[in-house]
Amino acid sequence: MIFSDYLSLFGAEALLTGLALLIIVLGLFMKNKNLMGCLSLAGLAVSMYLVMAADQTKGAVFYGTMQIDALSQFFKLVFVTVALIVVIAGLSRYKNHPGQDEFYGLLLLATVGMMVVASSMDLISLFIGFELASLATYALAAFDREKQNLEAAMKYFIFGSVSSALMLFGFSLLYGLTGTTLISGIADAGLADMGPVTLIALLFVIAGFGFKMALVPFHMWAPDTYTGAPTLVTAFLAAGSKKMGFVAAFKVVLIALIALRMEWYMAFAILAAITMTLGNLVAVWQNNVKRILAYSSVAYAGYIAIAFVVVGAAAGQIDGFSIAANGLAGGLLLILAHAFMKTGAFVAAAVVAYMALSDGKDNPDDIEHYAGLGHRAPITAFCMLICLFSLSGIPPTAGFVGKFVLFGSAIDAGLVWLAVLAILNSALSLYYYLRIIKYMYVNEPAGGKISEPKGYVLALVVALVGVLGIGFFPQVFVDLAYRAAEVLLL
Amino acid sequence: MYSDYAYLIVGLPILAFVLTIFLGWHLPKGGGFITVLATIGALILSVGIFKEIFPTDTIVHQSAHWFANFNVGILIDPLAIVMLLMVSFVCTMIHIFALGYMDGDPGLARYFAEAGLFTAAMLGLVFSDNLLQLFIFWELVGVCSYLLIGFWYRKPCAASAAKKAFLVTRVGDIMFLAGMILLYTNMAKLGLPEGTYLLQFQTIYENLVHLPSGQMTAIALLIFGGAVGKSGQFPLHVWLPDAMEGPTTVSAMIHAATMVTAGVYLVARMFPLFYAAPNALMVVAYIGGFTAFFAATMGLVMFDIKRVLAYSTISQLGYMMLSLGAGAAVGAAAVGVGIFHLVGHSFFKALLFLCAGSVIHAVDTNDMREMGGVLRSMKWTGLTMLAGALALVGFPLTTGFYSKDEILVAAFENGLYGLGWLPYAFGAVTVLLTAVYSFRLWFTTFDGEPRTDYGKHESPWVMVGPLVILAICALFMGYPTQDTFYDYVGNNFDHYGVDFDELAVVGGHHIEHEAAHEPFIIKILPIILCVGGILIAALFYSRWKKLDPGIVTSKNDPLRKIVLRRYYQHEIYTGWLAEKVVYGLALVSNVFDLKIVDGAVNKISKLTVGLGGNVRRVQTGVIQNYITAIVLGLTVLLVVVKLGMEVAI
Amino acid sequence: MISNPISLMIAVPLIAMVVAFMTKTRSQARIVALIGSLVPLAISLQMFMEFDKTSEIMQFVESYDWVPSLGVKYTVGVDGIGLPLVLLSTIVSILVVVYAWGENTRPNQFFALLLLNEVGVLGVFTALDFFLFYIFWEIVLIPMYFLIGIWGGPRKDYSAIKFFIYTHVASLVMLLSIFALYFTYRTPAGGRTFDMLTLIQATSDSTLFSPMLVNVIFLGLLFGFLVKMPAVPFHTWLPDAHVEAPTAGSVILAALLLKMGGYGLFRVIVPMMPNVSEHYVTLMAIIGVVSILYGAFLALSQKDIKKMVAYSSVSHMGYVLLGAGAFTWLSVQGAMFQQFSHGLITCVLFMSAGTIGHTAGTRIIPELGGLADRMPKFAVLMMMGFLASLGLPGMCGFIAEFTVLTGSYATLPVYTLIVIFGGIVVTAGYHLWAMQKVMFGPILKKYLDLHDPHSYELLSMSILVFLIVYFGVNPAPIMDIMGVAAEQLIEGPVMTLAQMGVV
Repeated sequence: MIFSDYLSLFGAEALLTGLALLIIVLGLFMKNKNLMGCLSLAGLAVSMYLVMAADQTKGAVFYGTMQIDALSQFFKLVFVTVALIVVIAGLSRYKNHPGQDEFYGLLLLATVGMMVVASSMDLISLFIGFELASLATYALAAFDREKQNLEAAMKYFIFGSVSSALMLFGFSLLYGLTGTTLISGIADAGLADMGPVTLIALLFVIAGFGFKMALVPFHMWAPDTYTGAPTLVTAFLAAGSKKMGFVAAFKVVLIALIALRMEWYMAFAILAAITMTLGNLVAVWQNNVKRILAYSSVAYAGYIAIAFVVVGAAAGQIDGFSIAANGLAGGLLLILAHAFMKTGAFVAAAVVAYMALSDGKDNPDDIEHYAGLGHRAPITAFCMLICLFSLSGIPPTAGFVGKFVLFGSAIDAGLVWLAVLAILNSALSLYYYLRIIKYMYVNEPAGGKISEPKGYVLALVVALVGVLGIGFFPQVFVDLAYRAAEVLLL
Repeated sequence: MYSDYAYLIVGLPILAFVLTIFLGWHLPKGGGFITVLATIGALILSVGIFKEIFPTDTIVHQSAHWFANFNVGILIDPLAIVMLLMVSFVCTMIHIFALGYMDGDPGLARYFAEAGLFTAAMLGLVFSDNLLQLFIFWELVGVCSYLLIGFWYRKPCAASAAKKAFLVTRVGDIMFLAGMILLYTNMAKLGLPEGTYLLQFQTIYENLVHLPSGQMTAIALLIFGGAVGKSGQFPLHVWLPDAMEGPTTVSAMIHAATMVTAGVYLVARMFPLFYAAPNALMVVAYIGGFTAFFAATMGLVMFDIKRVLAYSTISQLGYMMLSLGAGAAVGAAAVGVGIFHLVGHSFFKALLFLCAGSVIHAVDTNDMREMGGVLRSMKWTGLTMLAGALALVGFPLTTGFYSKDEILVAAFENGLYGLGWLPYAFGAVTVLLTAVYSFRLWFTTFDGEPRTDYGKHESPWVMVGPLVILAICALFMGYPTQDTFYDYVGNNFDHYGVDFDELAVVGGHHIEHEAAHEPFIIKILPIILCVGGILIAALFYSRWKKLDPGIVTSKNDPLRKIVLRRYYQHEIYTGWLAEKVVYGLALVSNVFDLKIVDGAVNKISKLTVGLGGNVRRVQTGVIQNYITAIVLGLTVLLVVVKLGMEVAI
Repeated sequence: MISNPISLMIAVPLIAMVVAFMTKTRSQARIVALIGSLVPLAISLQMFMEFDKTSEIMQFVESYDWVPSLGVKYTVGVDGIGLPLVLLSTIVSILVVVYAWGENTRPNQFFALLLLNEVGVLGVFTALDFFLFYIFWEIVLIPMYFLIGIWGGPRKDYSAIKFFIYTHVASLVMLLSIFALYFTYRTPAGGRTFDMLTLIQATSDSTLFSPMLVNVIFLGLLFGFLVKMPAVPFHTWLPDAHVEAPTAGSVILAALLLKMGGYGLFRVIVPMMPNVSEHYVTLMAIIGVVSILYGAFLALSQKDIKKMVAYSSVSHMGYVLLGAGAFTWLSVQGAMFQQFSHGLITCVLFMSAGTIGHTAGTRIIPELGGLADRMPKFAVLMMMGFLASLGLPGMCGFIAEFTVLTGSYATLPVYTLIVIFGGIVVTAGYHLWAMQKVMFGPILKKYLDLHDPHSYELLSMSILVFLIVYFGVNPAPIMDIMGVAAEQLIEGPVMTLAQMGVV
């Protein structure tokens, strides 16, 4: 296998890595750094093309530690898109900002880390990718160097390290039990009859990923960090690195630990139920929009976790495969949808924060500042509106398609109680989404019309296109999701 | 050839309604002449059709599909045609009278529009060929009365009287509706060929014998319930006296020609059904008889001239019901008798009301105590009213005499055949009472000395004319027509081949109709009673009064109080039933809805949200707590899953 | 002859909505709205002309793949159940635009939302694919939420959110049942489908759907529709929504949104009734009767005329449920016609309430009096509306209620008699009481300077009154196609589009 083949497979990662380094180096010399944004934008655009173009049949490389398949490309697409939107918004946010080169550099590195996770079929490489992404995002979380940034970053860092520790512990147990770090190897090792220690390993792995996925009770850091970090970074964390947790969990839990089906089936059933319920219940009480969105993404972690439960329940049923496929596809669709709508929502929040600050208000994310947004910043408000409706699962939007398939599969798998719970939850979630909408369109504006920064607007429009595109033309995305899902099940 | 235009009988008045409601405001006299002309047109058509079908002894029947399996149609048989003639004739008279009486009222156009619609509704009711269509016009009559009674809607009492009339008659209407639905369902069970219109009278008559007897009794009673409402029979008569709040011409229309007769007509129209349900007929007879008596008692004590007449109407309607009820004994002939009294009554009652109106027009009060000696200033009105009174009390050789006599005979036979003497007793006593209150009215109004100085002038000819014509009918129509009338209308149902003997078998009663042989006394008793009544009235109220009413009743005579308070019906119906029971129930259900049904919804949402409020406290922002929570969570998860596995395996 | 009339009919207001939203001035917005609702009206009338009134098969059917891998199609079509409601929607929508001609606050958003609402209801009444159906079903919530939330009264926040969440929960429950249908049935090809008629027909296959399963599915769907109708005890969102909503909103809510629930009954519930337990039929009958009586008594106890009218809607929609539950040819078509006629009548009622509200400044009945003296034209129209609503013969309300009761007696005698003796007089009672208090009696001092409302309000009301009388005198044009549909429903089983040979 010659170098060019690798390039054709991992071109995107290579490009982004190189670009990241280049940007950081250039940053040392150049005065006007606004170029950086455009560079990384271009880089991401190209790598998005490369990701889509990459031939998915090559299978495993690097001695089976990395693999290019529908699943990996699906997630890479998600990561690159999120990064792209964030960068576009960044063009406005960090215009003429002295440290913007670091921002873009770290962002790209984080993206690369996530992409590595998406491809890796080995615990080691997976962990490396994980840490790369995490470290980069720790730095990003503190980027604006304001007090709440630093606190957020601090918490994020501490919990990140705890999670890594738990994860590593789990990994090491698995290695000890099976003598391999290859996911496929672990799968074949027959963990079923290795006694209770397997359960410990499983739970530690779940806990480790649970941090990134922000499943209750491992979610504690998320609301604080999401609220404290710079809004664009929050968008990246919520929409991007959270998904990294999911892809890792999918690979390790569904493939490597398939032998422990019953165990993780139960564990995820409990976690999913608790997570979505708690997330929604608490979100109802928040007045800080970023916090509302943070809790809603906790709730979303709960919804997506239903996919695990469905897969667990499906096994051993007649046409269990198609049921499991439905479940996973639903989960993946919801992940894709969430990437778009959460990014959009947070970017909108960023616009409002920017507006509020220019009005000279403190705590810029307070819901009060959304009063009359429909009048003050029509485009932002409209995109926010669509994203919120999508989050609450009102058709015809991405959120609806994702929930539709996922909850449906739960019924199909006979998990009626879980489906009912999920549906009641998404009804409850309407309460706080509608509250924001009410502020935006019903309440009287607190100030005059503002000019919405172009970068933000562009980012919002991209998100909007994604949300509505999935909503109106689900077919292509559904197919993507199914192909990705089958990778995990075959 | 006239029968081809039968639909115009209703079409013309409706046209008049449309024209006057839109153009009336710009026309002299509110376009009243349009309505008059339309009614005359209806009259001419009716006469024409009568000329066609009477000698040939045929009927007119036209029918067309409407919707689902219901039809619209016109049915003009003897029963219908006499009604058509009466309604169109009397309405013509009343409308002409109204041209004078209502002149100068701001709402004139509205009056004539509604009056036209009223006439149309009644005519349509009469010539319907199926029960549903009849019901629709029946309700239309109801709403017209609502509009006309409330004509002076700025007067609160008028508005509420209108509402009362509508609601009380509606109580009857729903029974009618229920009866109709029962009838339809039973007919449907017969499995008649596809496309038969089950509510067509013809179909009903032809299939009555197949219906289960019990059902028929129920249906008959329910339909009679409707008649009770419309024709102001006890206990649904309470709206009729209040209906006086409308213009007097409206009262005339309601009491004589259009509204109240509808109930009697309905029973007559459904007579075969009633005949097959003798128990229902007995109820009819008793209710009729009692109402006749009951209302008459109240007529004795009223001082409002129109109220006296109102109660006399109720009483006379009781007679009509009584005669139909006696049908169990005398068979279909009862229809002839009842309808004859209806027609005669419509003449003299219209006359009486118009006279009253004419008097009120001049004297400008309803209270008889403020009148007296009006005859001097109003010869025509006084004399015509006298004629009306004579006819009302059934003075020999007047129209009322023949019909009332026949009714009493029928009632007597009813008793003779063991169906109860009470109805006859009521009827007989009422003759006396009628005579007393009628002439009490006439004497106190026209005789004696003026008790207040009121406007003294005779009404214009446009008003007096109709009075004279009606007076002539009231006095002289009876004798020449009666026999032909009896067997023409009495044999109405032969056109449909209704076999009454067979129906009698179905109804479980059979009576050989040998010639009734009532003793002579029965023949002359009415005469004695009515002459006696007139004398009593003369003794108490005429100019040469010999006796003072005080010797019979005193101010604080409990009986008198009860009668004056109209047996406390108002208190019971409005005060207790409507305001206490129904409205109370409504208020209760409202509280229930807000507190329980909606309260539950709000409670649920409160609980859900409140739950979040408690959970949220975990998020302290302190890292140590977070770590603790995580460790705790992990342990719990471990235990739970472990136990779960134990259970699963 | 238009090709794809239905899609066109849905697309036009959708585009018009976007345009209207962009407009700057009121006159532009309302002109756009007028055109945007006039075209659908024209199309629907055209469809009504071309509709083959004697056949029970779906007509004007369009079907395209949308999400093949999920078996989702874009399928629309109308039959005797849908067409009258389509007609109703287009008529009411344009009349609402006319009535709201003078809207001043945020006119562009206002008219845009009216149009979006029309899109939603038209979609619901024509969609033949559960996925599509559900999408339109949910879309309708959005404009109504904003209409209440932005233009509403003092408690608009509470009412708007209550309306949205309450009905949304119901739709979600309905969605669960739809999933159950979807995942239980497989097409002969082995795939899945959301095709409504196919799935409904499949429920009669007891090898596929166990009785227990059918019953559960049935209950879920029924709940979804009952809340929309709304039937007691799931009605409490309605009065709040109505009282707070602007007049146009109330009109649409009562005239069109409630009809979605009824439409669901005939499209989905009635065909399934032969396959479910008897008890559910009884349940429907009981709920229907309770709604009629309870709604009437609640209406009687109201002081706010608009709230009274709202409860009267609950009462009248009860007839739809009763008729559907009775499951006879006559009762079912009567219930369908009740939907249509209530749609027309309730418009007049809410417009009256609204006009009184914004002319007299209050809607509290005891505070009003003698208005007829100053607003004669309006008084006539309002009275016509009220008389129609209390079921006066000669107006379409009576035809509907009479047909329902006559049809229902055959199978549900007791319940029918309860309605006749318990409901009708009370209904008449509160209508007449309100009329008398508001319109009659001496005019109150404070109202001396009132006068008839704007010509456009009178215009839309008089058109409605005309239609009410017209269909009361000649119901056949609508009733006959309903009769055909009802016959098909009663004799069953449901035919799929394939069996009809239209796809």
